[in-house]
Amino acid sequence: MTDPRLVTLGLSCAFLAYVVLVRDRRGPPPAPALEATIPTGIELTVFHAGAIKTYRFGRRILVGRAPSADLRLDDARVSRLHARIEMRDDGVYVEDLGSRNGTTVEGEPVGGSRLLAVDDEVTVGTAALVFRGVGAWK
Amino acid sequence: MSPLLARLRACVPMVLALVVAAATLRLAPSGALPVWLPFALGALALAWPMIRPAGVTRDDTLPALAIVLSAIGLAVVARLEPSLAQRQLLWLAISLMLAVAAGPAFERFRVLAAYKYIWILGSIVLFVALAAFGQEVNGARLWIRLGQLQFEPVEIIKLFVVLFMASYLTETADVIARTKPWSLRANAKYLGPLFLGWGISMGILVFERDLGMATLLLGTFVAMLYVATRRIDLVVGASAVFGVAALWAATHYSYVERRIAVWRDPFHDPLGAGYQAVQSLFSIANGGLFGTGYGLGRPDYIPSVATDYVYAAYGEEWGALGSIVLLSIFLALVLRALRVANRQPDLYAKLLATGLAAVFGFQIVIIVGGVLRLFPLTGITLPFVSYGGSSLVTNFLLVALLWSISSERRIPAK
Repeated sequence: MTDPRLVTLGLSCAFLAYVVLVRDRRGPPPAPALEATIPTGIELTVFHAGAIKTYRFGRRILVGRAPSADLRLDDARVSRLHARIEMRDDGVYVEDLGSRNGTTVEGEPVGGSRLLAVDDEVTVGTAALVFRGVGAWK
Repeated sequence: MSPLLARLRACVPMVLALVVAAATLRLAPSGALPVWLPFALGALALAWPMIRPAGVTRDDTLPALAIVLSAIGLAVVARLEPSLAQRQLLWLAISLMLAVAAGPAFERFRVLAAYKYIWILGSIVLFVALAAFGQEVNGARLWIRLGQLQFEPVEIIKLFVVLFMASYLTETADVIARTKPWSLRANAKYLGPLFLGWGISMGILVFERDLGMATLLLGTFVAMLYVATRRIDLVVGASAVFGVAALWAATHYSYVERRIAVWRDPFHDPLGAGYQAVQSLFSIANGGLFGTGYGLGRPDYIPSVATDYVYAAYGEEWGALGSIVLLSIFLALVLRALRVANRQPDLYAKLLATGLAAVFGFQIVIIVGGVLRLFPLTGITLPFVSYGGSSLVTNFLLVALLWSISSERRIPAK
């Protein structure tokens, strides 16, 4: 009679082979069905250093003086990583990242995070960022 | 495909796993296990992948892999100590019931992200309870006794640490990733809560002398931090801090010092301090390529063989061949978990799955490497295989959580 352990090991190997060879042939994850209607980014108008520009960003924007920030503001009153504007499930929020001079929305200082309404003005250092809404773009 | 058919198809891996489990448990000495119990457990195991919301696919091999591993563990423990196997069966029943119950509960696992400081607070409370009411076994204070019940809080703590790290890093990963390594103030600001929460657990772990769990938590911590931020300087820094802490522990705790001495030369004192290590080496050597055969080895010479040294007992009777199969099953489990992480759309689910994969991966490496004398042995359990109720329950919960994370909504065919 064959060793019962070999039966177990053989079965285990067959199970592993099934896991690796059969279950892994499911292909890439399905694309989201409603991609076109999901907002993919935030639009901001930036008033800074005498210039007015409108940008379209992604779902999460880091504002600061650091070169790695998404919206870079060359201003001594802005901290390196100053604030974050991000899209959450229930709207777009601005969040102060513990900056030295703080962040205000419509003149009120932001402690923690705050929901933004369209055309709200966020002040960071001497720059003003106006939230223009969200849209679907690449 | 009709919903019922989809449900039945999801059970295929579990049915295969139960066939392997039945073949494994037929080896166990008769009388060690009640006849009806395996059938009840099998029914529970089948119910596990069956109970799920309609219209989603999940990675059904994860529960199946857990079942195969715990069947192998049960067979090994039944051969070593039939009375322990019966208790292990009871724990397995509890774990399966919890896993089946957790399926619907974990479905909305993303709400767990909102309670990040609860997790860190919970683990601190458990540590304090451990310091106050813990029982000391072999120089480490790991157990809390509640009447008849004994449990190991560190097993729950590893889950709490992963939950905390995942939700904290979801919020701050982008900021941490863009902070320059030399900017001390910024690093302290963003990493502060992380290191505080984690440092407290680390300090108490060293204080409670559980180096195995400390290493496991560090590995998990560093893996998650790296995956979230891609900052290699944090990996190097955290490892260096841990190295210094371990060095300090080795010179200040005689218990750690002894473990390292045994690791470097177990044959220096083969009948005293090195007895356990030497016996386990003999066991593994005795096993050779094909093993001695189930029930034919003598792993019972190794002290505490059913918990820390279960890998040596398995290696003796199943040989290198069996060990390779066991390690491949573990590898499949970790790879599946990482695959779950890879397929998730949001950062929180990704980080949670990565953390759980890291917990399994590091735990296996630490204990198997310790038994094989690759590095000093630190007593933690081999997931699913070792005897141990709290470990089994927690590992089943981890797999249940991973299984819930793996949900993908099926798009109806047009």
